[in-house]
Amino acid sequence: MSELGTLGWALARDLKLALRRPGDGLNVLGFFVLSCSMFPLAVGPQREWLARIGPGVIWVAALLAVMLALPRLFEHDHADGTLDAMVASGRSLPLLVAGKLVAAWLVTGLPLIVVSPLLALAFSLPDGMLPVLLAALLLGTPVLLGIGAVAAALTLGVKAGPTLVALLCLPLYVPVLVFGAGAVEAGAAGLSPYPHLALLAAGMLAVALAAPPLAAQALRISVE
Amino acid sequence: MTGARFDRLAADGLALARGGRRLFAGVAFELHAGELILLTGPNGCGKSSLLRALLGLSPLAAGRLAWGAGAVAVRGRDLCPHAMYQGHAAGAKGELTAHENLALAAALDGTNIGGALAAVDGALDEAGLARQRDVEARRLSQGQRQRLHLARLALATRAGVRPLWLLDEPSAALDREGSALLGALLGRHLAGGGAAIVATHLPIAPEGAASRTLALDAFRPARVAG
Repeated sequence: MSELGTLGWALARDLKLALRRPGDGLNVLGFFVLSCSMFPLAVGPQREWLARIGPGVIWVAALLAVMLALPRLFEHDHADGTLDAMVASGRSLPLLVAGKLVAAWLVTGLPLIVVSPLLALAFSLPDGMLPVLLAALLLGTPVLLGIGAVAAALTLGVKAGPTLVALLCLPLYVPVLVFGAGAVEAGAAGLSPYPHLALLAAGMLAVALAAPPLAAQALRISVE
Repeated sequence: MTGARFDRLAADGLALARGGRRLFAGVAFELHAGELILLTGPNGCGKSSLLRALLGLSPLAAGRLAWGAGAVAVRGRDLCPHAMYQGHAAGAKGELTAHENLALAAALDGTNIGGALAAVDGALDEAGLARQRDVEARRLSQGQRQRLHLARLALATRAGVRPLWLLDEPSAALDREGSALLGALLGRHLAGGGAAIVATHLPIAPEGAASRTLALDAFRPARVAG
């Protein structure tokens, strides 16, 4: 099996599992949509208010939704021994993790981006800002997932794992939130959103390179 | 190192600790092609931990491993590409069918030469799981799940890769026919120049081959008084 084959093996396997267990992905999506729709109920239906808080709300909800999916990323594999099998196979663990992360993004991140135009409509986002929001989410959600994967791998098998993941991740998510929501804010204020998007893109590249090996190393410690 | 034939695995002075307590120390063995070592000892003496440590899944407190005719010093991690490991847990995804699980395992092991699905079906048949081909693994019994491991081993004997088998209680839930199949597979594997270390409470008889026993409780450190 080539390097690409190793990554593809994990990707295909996790996608197949997600199809067999669609609840996991749908729960995350449901949480995202419902938590966004709480805000108009709480702050009132004034259009200008909603347009003002919309990008921030969508980003915070996306961030929490991704975090909801993190504990399950390695938990099942750890419990049923397939994680041991992956480590013991001698295949590149970073590539296996990378495959799992791509699958996790397709199952949890991509659906959020697909429904966010509806939420943008609900929050009456300013005209022309939808592409910026989508681009920011497209670049930002992999970063959230990558950082979260390292935290999930570190806390694997720990009883208070999910809480720890939240405490580890939230401070690290701040830059993503600032630049992600900031991109739309800047666009709405008539400024260029590209500096924000460029920073998100840089973050995504850094996470794509760093998260798989870091998470793999953490997994090796967790299976001991 | 991948794809190499099994030549020799030498271990010297292996020691393992868990939770600050020394489980055993000074374990040494030499394993050659065609040989089977049965790891025995009471519960908690470190049989599973030793198998895991040989693959770098858990750390050794002390000891050296040497691989091949040249006796190259290796870490447990380096043995992984040559080894078939079967641990305690099911090692199968409950949501996937027996066939899907075996196909995935074979792809990871590199035993599905040419990606032949027919070979996977043949192995399921040999392990007596032909009727359970499309049954989800979570609906299989404990023994049937162990037979799924046997099917994985059957694929490995055919493909001729991963010559070092490290099996943890492979027959614990097997019926008599299943145990006989395990013996046959081990026999075929050893005759083909492979080697195996099997942690077990039950007698395991490889067909047409001898085995020796390594009793781990003999290496337990003496209890310090007070």
